[in-house]
Amino acid sequence: MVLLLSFLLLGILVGAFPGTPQRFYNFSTKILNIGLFGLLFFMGVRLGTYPNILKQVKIIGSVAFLFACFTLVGSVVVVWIIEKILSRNSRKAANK
Amino acid sequence: MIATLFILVTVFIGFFCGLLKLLPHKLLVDADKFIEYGLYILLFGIGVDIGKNKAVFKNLKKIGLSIFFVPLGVIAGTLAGSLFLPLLTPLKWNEAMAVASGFGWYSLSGILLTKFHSPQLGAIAFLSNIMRELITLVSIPFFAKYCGPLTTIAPGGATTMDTTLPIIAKYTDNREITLIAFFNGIMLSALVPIFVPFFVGLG
Repeated sequence: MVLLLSFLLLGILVGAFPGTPQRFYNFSTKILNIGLFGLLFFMGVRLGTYPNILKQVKIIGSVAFLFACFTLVGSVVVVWIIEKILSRNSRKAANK
Repeated sequence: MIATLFILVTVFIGFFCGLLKLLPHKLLVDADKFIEYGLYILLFGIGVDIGKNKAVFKNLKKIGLSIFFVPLGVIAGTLAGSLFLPLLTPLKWNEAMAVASGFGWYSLSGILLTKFHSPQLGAIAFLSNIMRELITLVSIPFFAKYCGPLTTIAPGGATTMDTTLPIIAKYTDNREITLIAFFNGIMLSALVPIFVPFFVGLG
């Protein structure tokens, strides 16, 4: 967690530094796009190499899937409501 | 839609390469390390992108305390959603809440539940949180387009500080949201080891 935060902060410092050349920004955008799909690929590899993953899916897959769907939809609904309230409040404040 | 398909196909190609051992041994064994180092590079790149946009910090001041609303909303929504599970499965309500309290962090929640409850519930936590992460990956482009930037953070739970952060950054294209997502992930990750044993203990 600390390392992730350190890399993020280091990036923010480099990005905010006035002397950073434009070429570096273009390069970092490219890295983000390539790195993202590399990350996704290796997340897949990691899943595939877990022992007995297919057997587990067969036995408890449906319960796990229900869990994933209900918790994900629950989070989305609550945060969506919060987002609607926040944006309505900020529109009201802007009108005043 | 194309973005979702692209994400899904990439993860699945990786999955089958891992499952059928189609890659050199080193790449298979060290997938964890590649993910870790890849995340460092991506987090650095996301940081550069944030630092470049000077307006981010001014806007973040405006957001203020509402930065806490997203993790609180995710907690409330996740736990509320999990309460449907006892209606559909033999699990008790507190077991369902304990599994849901992994917030997508499958390795830790799986280990915690194996230790504090049983290997069976640990396996359910592991697999359900993996599925939550996968569904998050493919659904982020959809939520970013049709719901709103804050809602895009919601499905990821604790993973918005690492594995799902680059996707959120790419599809919201809003640097304040990236920072809020990172904060959300840190807060939820810190709560996993507290919430999981707490809900197990209620049974």
